[in-house]
Amino acid sequence: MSESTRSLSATRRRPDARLADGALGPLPEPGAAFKAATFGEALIGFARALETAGCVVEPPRVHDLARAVEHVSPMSRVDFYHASRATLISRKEDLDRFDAVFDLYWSTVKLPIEESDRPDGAPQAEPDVLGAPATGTPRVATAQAGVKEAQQDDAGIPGFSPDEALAQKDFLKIDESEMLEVRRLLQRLAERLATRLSRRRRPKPHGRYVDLRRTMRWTLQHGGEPAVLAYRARRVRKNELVLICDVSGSMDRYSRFLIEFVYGLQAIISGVETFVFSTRLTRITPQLRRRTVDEALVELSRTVADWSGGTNIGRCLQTFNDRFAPTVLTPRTVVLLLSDGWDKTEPAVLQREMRRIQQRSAAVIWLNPLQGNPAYESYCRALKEGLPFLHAFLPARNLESLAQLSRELVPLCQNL
Amino acid sequence: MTLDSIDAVQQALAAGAYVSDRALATSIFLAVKLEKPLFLEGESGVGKTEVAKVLAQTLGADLIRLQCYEGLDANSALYEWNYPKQLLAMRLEAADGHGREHAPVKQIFTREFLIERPLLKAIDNQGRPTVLLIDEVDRCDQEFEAFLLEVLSDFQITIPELGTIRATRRPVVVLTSNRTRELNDALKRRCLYHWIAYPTFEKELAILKTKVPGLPESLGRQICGFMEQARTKDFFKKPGIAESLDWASALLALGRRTLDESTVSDTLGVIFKYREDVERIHDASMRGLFDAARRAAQAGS
Repeated sequence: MSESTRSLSATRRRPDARLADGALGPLPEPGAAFKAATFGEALIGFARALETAGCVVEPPRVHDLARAVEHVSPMSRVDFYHASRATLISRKEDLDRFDAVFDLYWSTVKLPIEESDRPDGAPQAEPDVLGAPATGTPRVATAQAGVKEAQQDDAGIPGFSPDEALAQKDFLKIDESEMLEVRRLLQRLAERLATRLSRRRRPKPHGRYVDLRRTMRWTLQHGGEPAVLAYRARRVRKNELVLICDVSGSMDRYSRFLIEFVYGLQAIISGVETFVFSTRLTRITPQLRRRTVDEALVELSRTVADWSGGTNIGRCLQTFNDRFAPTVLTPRTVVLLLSDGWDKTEPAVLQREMRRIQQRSAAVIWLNPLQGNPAYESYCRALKEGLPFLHAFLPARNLESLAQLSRELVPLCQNL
Repeated sequence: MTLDSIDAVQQALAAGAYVSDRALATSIFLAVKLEKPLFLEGESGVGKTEVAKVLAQTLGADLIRLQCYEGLDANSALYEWNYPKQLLAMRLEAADGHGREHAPVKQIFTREFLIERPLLKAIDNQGRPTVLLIDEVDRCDQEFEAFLLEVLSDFQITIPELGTIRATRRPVVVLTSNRTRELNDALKRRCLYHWIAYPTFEKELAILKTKVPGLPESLGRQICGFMEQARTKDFFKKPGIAESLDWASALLALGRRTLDESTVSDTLGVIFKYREDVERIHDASMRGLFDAARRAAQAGS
């Protein structure tokens, strides 16, 4: 898949995905703006260059910038920089990228912009709205080609129905080329689940709340006597989710996918708290707020010394219960625990801690990427200790199993 | 006051005791000129809400604030009928001798019985200059976000019983977000975007001096040096400008002139709101904060 396709299609669905797979896209050559025939074209070229570098720039925003330029006179380089930043960019993640592209693209271009450079004259057809008639100089060719290519590629994606083989492919075996597609599907899955769960308040004959507006209507029909009360159902409240992920050894990879999936559920989940553990438990919720999953985990692996050591689920759960459970667990919280259960914890400790979590939360779901592998099941002792306290025990090794998790979450969340 | 150039905006903000930079002034200027909502993102406590307040003050406009929260719905944001008043009116009419066969239908769905909520108030502003602040928009639900998008595109609202109400004068709209979640692209596309970062040392010092009169220069420098370092550390909730201001006032009230360890310990509650963070300040790794404060004070003298 080409770079430009990445920036145009996939990033809309999952804004952060791109950052994770390789930072900055191709940058424009210095002074690329010079190649444009008019200032209007230079602006369009600039937006394209931003997209190529990986920013999300919606086409109508170029028009905003053109309007902005009209209002600021005379416009210094600094003002032009601020104005284009405010109009073209809409995410913090893109700001650094923007700076890099701006410096290169507009370098050697004479600013402030003179009157004669300004977009003027009657608008032509889209997307030439901004430009004066072209003088024959070719546009920024690479960017143009990039867009075309992107459109073709988009058309080539067979709908959104997950590829059967990809859905069943183990997360561990997914290579770089498939990563983007998997992330996109993951996002789709989360969105679908979110739509199914979120609902507006609706009239319901035996609901809990009095619907004043409809009561008034009925009252009117009965000459002003409020005889009948209309009710509405309680709004489906959002759920809270706590993720406790094993990141030792190969679990790391599975955890990343799970975390990404859960963060796609924000429409129905008011709060996600994320913890990772190997031998020690670390809360990474604040990091995830600022960074992508990959970045957060990379940073962690740098700071946490015992990253790829063995696990100690029991002790980590104890830390969780002692330090965090009182603030993050409510009777509405669903706890997702991802681990292969390959561990030397004493059974009694694990049982005790699992019970504590169960008592404080709505349900505990244990996700095990290795579930279903017969060679494995004989030695997952820790898991057996945990079983009595679980709402469900599910695999989490590929897209299909995350779909299964969604099916499990729907009734669970609706009944809370 | 009219805001007809970026410089004018910057001066106006300064007159309102808001220390801004050129980037923010440009965004505000364009938001007013292009009549587009201004979307301000940034960590909490960096002065996002303040922008709307100062802007309203500068423009001599009404400030209408819609505080978003989870579960906020169109009814609470837009309008509601005054049911008790409607009922009462019907009763009065009945008592006046109108029989039940003349059920009062139309009269109770008029402006008189309408309770305007913030969004309607901002749109139905009778031509008065208005600043609409939609605060912490990241807290509302996605359905409400979609509804906001609708309102912000047309600046008109349809009330079935009354008809469509249009803004005779578009309000200046400021949206703020703490970025607890990513907002809908379509909504962001409607807006001009500005990220308010933590202030630089000099900017924060300027803010402190403006807002806390009587603050000794050296104490101000120590606070800024300390805060600048603290924000590079991994606290659960990093202190914002709001915390710096509170801290400066607190230290001033206590008559403290230097930030030594015991002074900081005594006033920690002003800048850190989580137990984890309060505990962490005593870690060895936090020595750097005091060094930074000391260096900042020396650099100033």
